[in-house]
Amino acid sequence: MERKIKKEEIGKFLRRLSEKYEVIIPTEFNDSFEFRVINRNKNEIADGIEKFSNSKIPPKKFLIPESEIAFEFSEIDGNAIIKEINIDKRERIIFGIRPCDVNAILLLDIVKKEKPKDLSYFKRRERTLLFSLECNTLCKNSFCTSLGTGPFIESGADLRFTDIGDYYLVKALTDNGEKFLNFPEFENADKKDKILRDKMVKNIDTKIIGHEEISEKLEEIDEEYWDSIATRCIECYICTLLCPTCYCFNVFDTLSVFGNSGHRIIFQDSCMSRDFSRLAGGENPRRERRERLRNRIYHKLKYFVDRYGRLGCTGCGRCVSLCPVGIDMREFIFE
Amino acid sequence: MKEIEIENELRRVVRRLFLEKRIDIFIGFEDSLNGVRPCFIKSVDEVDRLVWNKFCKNNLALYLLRFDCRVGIVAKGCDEGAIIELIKENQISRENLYIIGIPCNGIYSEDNKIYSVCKTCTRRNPLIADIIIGELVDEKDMTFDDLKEIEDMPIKDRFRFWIREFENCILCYACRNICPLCYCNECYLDRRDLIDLRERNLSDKIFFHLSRAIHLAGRCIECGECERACPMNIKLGKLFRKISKEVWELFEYKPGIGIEDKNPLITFDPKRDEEL
Repeated sequence: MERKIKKEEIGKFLRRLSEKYEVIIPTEFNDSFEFRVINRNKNEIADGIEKFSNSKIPPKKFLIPESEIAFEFSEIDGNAIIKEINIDKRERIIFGIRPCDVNAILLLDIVKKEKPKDLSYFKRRERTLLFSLECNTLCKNSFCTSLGTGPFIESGADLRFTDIGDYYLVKALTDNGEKFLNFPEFENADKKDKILRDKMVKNIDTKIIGHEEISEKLEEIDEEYWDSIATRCIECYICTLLCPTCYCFNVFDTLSVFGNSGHRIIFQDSCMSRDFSRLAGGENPRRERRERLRNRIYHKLKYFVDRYGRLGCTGCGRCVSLCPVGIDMREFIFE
Repeated sequence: MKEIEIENELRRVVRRLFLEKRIDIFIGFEDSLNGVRPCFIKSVDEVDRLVWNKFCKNNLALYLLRFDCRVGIVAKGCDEGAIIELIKENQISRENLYIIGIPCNGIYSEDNKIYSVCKTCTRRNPLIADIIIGELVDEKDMTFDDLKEIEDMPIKDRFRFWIREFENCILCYACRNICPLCYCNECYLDRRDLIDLRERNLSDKIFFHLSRAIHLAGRCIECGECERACPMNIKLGKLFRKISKEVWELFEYKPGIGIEDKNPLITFDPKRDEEL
């Protein structure tokens, strides 16, 4: 079903949603946008969303927090007691999530479903609805048009919003999304509105490169090239922590000073860290910066393809824009 | 001299250095799809990749520690400041280094805004370069007025201000890793037996930044790389300038100027330090 909503009505629509749901929208912050939970006391909701291209921190942060307590444990009279941590049960809506990030979450779903299934991820995922906002203009440094992950979306999100001037054209892509179209803010969309979107789709040049092709080309890169890029790399974790498809984590326990209680923490880890692949005893299969960098690129562009038949990169361009020394994912894909 | 003239002259000098076999590698800037970035020239055929313009933001001194051969480098004032500090701390030797100094009027971000640390820079001209390309520029007087806005806040607001800044930190370590003076092979921030930051809570983030600030007191040359590298736009430049201000007011010392200068925080002068 397709309907439309006036742009001025979006704030009202979101406020209505926030009565029942935890609504997350892109909010202006430090000269850019970040996804934040709606503050219902604020009058201007979703103002300035026209300027929104994409957030620096991908919306995966609502599914994979930077760190979380898995459970608490303690010892009382010789018995181990484990206390589970409850994850907030309230349903969530992420409004304004871009097609590339929706596709990234679909990738995370595949990975997290593998045995052993990541329960805390799915507890969050199952109560999260995605209201995707298609892109009228391409973000700087993005290359979603070459990977088929944007700027438009046909499946994966629950609702799809398209900016067609004074209105957003809205299409439900799942049954869950369908029921929101009955909200009073929506009007019926006619043929003209659909044509406006079709025109937009036609206007943006998409030239999808096959992922087999990309992963085959990757093997042709010689050692010298990896060396030259690794010399420049400063092995910070920007590219991994801010990647919408990176999911690596590590686990550790903290103990109280008395040593009889503590909690287990799961935190986002980065393969660019020297410690990431260090084994007990000190051996490290990826000791050199070059090896770690190559592993990151191979994981995105080859291991993902080998294992799941699709690329591990959605072309959002965050790692390209934010890398302080200009390491560019596009070079591995296009050159 | 115009930028393009400087660029041509730079290429000419570097070509000569290679032909005369005076350097094995040259560290400079090249163009890429996403703006200017550091590059490493290995032979005379690659020299034409070199560029020079007001967007050459990186502090190239960072890369000096990665080469164990004769290196040529193009240096702005802040790059040179870092080189001086690295020489003072016995990390590199001056003999193996050929410095091409370029006087600098400030570096601009991609949207053509001057970086905030450049506005207060007092180290625009080369001091120890082997050759200078371009005309010297006027140095500005030292001022810490830009800090006034934060310093004048009531202590509660100031505390809240910094907490808000550090809250945004994602502990990506980019500020530490890009810092030319954070060169320790084994950083205490990686030593989990000493300090464990993996929980990534606010106190971890505050600890990370404040302890780095203390470690760079009297060494930070205010190049602003940490602030530029920060993906979350944390105002690290202001934090490190505050540290520099403290060092200046206590010791009248500024790092990155004289190769013979002694860092007051690692020397003890009974006369000077008595009152401390």
